[in-house]
Amino acid sequence: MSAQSQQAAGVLVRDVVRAVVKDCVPEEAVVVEGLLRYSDAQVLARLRGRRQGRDPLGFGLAEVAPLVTPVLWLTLEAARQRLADAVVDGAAHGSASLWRRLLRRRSTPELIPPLTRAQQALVQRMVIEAAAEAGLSQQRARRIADGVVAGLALSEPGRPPSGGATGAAR
Amino acid sequence: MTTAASVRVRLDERIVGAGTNARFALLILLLVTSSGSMLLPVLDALHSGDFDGCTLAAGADPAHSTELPSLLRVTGQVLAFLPCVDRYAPYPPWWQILAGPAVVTAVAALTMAALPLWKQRAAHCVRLDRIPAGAEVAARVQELAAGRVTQVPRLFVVPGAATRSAAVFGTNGSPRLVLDGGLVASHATDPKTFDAVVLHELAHVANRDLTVTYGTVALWRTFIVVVIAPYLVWLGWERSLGIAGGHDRTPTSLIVRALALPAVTTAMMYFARADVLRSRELYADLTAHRWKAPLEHVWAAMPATVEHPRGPWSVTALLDRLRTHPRWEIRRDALDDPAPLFAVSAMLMFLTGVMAMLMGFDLSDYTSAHPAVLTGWLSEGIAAVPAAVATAATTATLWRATIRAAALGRRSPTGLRAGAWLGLGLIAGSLLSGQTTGDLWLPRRMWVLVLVLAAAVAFTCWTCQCARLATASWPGRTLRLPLALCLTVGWLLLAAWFGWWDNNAAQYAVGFWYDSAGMSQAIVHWFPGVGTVHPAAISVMAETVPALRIAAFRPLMPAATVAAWMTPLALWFAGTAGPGPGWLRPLGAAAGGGTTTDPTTARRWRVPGARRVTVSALIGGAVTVLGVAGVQVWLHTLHAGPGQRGGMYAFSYAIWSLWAITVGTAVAAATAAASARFRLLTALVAAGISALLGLAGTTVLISVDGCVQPLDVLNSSCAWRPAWQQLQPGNTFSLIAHSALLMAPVAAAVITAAAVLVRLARRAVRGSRTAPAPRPRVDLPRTETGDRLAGSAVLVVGVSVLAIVAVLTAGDARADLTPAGRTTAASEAAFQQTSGLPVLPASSQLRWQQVHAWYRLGGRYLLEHAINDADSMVTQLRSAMRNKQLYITPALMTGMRPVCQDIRNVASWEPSGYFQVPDPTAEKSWHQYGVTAGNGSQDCMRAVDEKDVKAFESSIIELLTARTNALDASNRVKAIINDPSDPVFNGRPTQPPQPL
Repeated sequence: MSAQSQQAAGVLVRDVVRAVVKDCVPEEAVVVEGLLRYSDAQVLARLRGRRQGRDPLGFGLAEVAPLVTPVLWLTLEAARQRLADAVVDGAAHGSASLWRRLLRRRSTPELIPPLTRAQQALVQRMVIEAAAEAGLSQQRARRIADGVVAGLALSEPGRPPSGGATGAAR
Repeated sequence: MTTAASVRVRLDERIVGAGTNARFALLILLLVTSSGSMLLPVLDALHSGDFDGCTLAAGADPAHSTELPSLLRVTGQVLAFLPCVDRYAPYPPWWQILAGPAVVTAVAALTMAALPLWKQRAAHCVRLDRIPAGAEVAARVQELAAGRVTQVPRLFVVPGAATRSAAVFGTNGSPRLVLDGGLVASHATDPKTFDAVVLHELAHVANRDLTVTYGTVALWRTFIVVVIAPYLVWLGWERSLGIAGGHDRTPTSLIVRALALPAVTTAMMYFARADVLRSRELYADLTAHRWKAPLEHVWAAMPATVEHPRGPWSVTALLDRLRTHPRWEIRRDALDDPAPLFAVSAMLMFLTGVMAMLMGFDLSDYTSAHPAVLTGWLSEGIAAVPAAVATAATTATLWRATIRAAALGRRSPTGLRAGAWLGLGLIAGSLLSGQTTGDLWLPRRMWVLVLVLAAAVAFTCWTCQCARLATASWPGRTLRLPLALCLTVGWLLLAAWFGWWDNNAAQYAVGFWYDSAGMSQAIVHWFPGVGTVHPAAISVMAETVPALRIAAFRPLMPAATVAAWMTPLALWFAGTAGPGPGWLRPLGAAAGGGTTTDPTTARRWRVPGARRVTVSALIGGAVTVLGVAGVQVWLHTLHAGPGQRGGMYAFSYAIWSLWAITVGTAVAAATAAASARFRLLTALVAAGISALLGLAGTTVLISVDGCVQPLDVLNSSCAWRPAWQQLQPGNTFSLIAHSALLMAPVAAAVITAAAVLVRLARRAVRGSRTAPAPRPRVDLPRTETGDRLAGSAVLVVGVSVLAIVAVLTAGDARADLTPAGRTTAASEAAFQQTSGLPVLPASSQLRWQQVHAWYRLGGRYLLEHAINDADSMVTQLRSAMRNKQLYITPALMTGMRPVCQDIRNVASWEPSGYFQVPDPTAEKSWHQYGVTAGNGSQDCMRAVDEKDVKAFESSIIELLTARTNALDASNRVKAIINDPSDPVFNGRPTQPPQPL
């Protein structure tokens, strides 16, 4: 299956993140645009890893800002993984699958397939929980979760495919 | 009345230089210099030669070559040793020795250039101008930077980092600012935090922190790869070779020290760098604060932490010292009161001491590979490098602490604690480098290390009191000029001290001392004629004079000893001539000692008057004159006749006069040290002027010796005979002048320490009674005449001091500029006489090795030639025998001349052309040969030339005795080698290395 046809059949994680941040947290536009210059795998590695504050002339504070973008991206990835695991055949856990994963890691943007209403509700719930955990207010968490659902709806049949997001274009 | 708190706010942390650049310089220089000395053994391993052969032939032990007896064997035979090394194990050439530092510097420069490229790599961060949404953020940074930094940094963002932080990197000329994603996002949500963080980073740019910080980082990384790695590889290789070969006799202490060196260097690097960076952070905070950065907003958002009580040496406290950023509570408090930037840190002092000592040792290591080039001035120049950085680092810190105390009207630091830590650091550096220990774990003479501690404390106390004097009275609006003066003189003092310590005094700790019997013999011959004094006096002189002579004749010593007391005198004069401390005026009238609430503190800041110093100096001068007159009276009572006024008699006249001067300076110092304020400085100035007066008085008294009958010592008639001409032999008058100048500050420091101890003891005995009521301050009306008088007096003292220093330094110039390589046979003999040439107690195996090496590298050649020449002489003599009767004919005499010439050539290798035989019995015979054959051959040639048959006959008898000596020596050597099939007997003998 080619990337083109994949896009038509789902929505890219990065597109959802971009759309939600644009609507709900515009102050993080620079963060998202910056992240979009990397591949999905690179972004996830950066968001999961802890940055070492060893700059001798840094400000010297390791205080973390309550950013929405990392929470959102990581939650969507977790949801995508969960949904994918549910549908993937057990045999795909073999070495061929691993090889495919490794290849995909470098190039292909992660895709969320068209979701059912129940699945959308699941994702919405996951986002709300993660946002609450990250210290966002309930109202804000709900707004973001709604934004995610709206973004995911882009992949529903009949909607036009998203444009522009082709991954690690730097 | 203005409160201390309000003054505190107005005391600008930039009032004098921070000294952090000096600390960075210390770090950088230490790395660069140790890159040379740590690579030297690696280089030596690549230049394998027969160095051990030369060491053995000299009668030393290669396994304990840094131990004193071995060092003395080698140094005492330097005329033979240097040519031997030059031939069999040439030292690496200069370009190779200097290649280490050069390569490290070059690679560090490349790393420095590559570091920003690595930090801004695309995988790590994104250029902000490539993100359309970043325009607003960039505009805000530009706005904040406008007018504050000359170079607006290029901007980058790390989108994956959620921290609200930022960092600058690159160089001062091309700064880069990288913002974390969290901070970029807070540009809209929390602009105050954004501004505070960005302004802090811009403050780093404005404070020019970038180049020096990342330069150190680059240098350190280079050092690990280029120096530490090969060094450890070499160490491992050498050890494993030694262990595998079963001949590893290296003492454990040396191995541990070799391993500890990189470890301690690393630890020091981290502690020292973190210390500097922490203060740079505070400076950046304060700069940003001045730019109205809302830093309080950032600190207000920080979670409250519970303070746990902890000691200064707890693990947490030590870990804190490794942090490059101070804890946020410290940063918050520093905005209100930048006390940490004015504090004297014990660890900083300690580290400065260790690094300076290691650097000095590293630098002397460079020349130890080429000892022949070393001159007095070169060794002083080498010592001046660690002295410069150590002075800059400590003086800046101590001045800052003093200035703060002055501004707040508090007690100023005494320098005692700082000096103790500095001294301990110096001692630690010395022990780590092995400079004072040789192959042992600890020095043989531990007490010598007290000299290090004492010197460090004296230096810091001097610096603190000079700073206090300047802050209390300097009329200028800034303290830059007195600080510069103090820095320069402090440098001079430390350079003179390091020169003396590295080249001479450290050896005393190793165990070296002068051979007093040899010294006595040398002194006896300085003054022609005979003459003696009490034997106890002779032995005291022989013990002390060499050490005093060595210290006093160091090239920088006259200038340094005089500057030690001329500096406070100049500061005092400048202060009393002006209208009071000018730099305090902008801070308000409350600042300074005058009107603080604590009267005892206030008194401490008051500048002393001239009277006490003047009176003390005059008393000291008078004591000296009386003392010298007393010496003359005493020597006069010995009733030495005109022929008995040489030798020890004349020398002791000079030395007793010197002690009279020293007693005078000590009395002057003691009288002045009774002062409650500026005790060290008043003692120094009084002792210095007293020494000048005493020297002048002594010179006059000796010059008119013979004019007052009860005071006659050297002359019986009255005439003006300049003292410097009468005491010219052995450079004795110069010794008095040099030593008088040296003893003035030394006596002042010792007396001050004693005065402080007495005061403390008295206070302890009396108990803590109520403090005495403050005396009302009486300011005598200043008169123009008084000012002019004081000015003239200071001018006269200054000019005479300059003249004396110039004359003394110029007088020593020739000796100080002569390289050690130009040692003459006479100076080597003098060294052997004053220092001794011990015969190492050796196992039979080591003795075999030594004698074998001696025989192999030139001994066999000399012995065989000596015996062959003697044999050919005997053959010729036999041919002239008739009926067992020797008939000396002109033909025989003419035929013998070339043989005598040959014998003379062989004998000329003894005693300094080639090594002494390491076996005492063989050496005795060989030395006997040298003396007898030398004389006999000369007599022989003279007799032939003068056709003197009788003289020829007696010369032949001498040469026949010499033949027996040579045979004895040869037989003894062969008996020790004890193996006729040894390869050393095969082939042609090797000629000893020709003198350089």
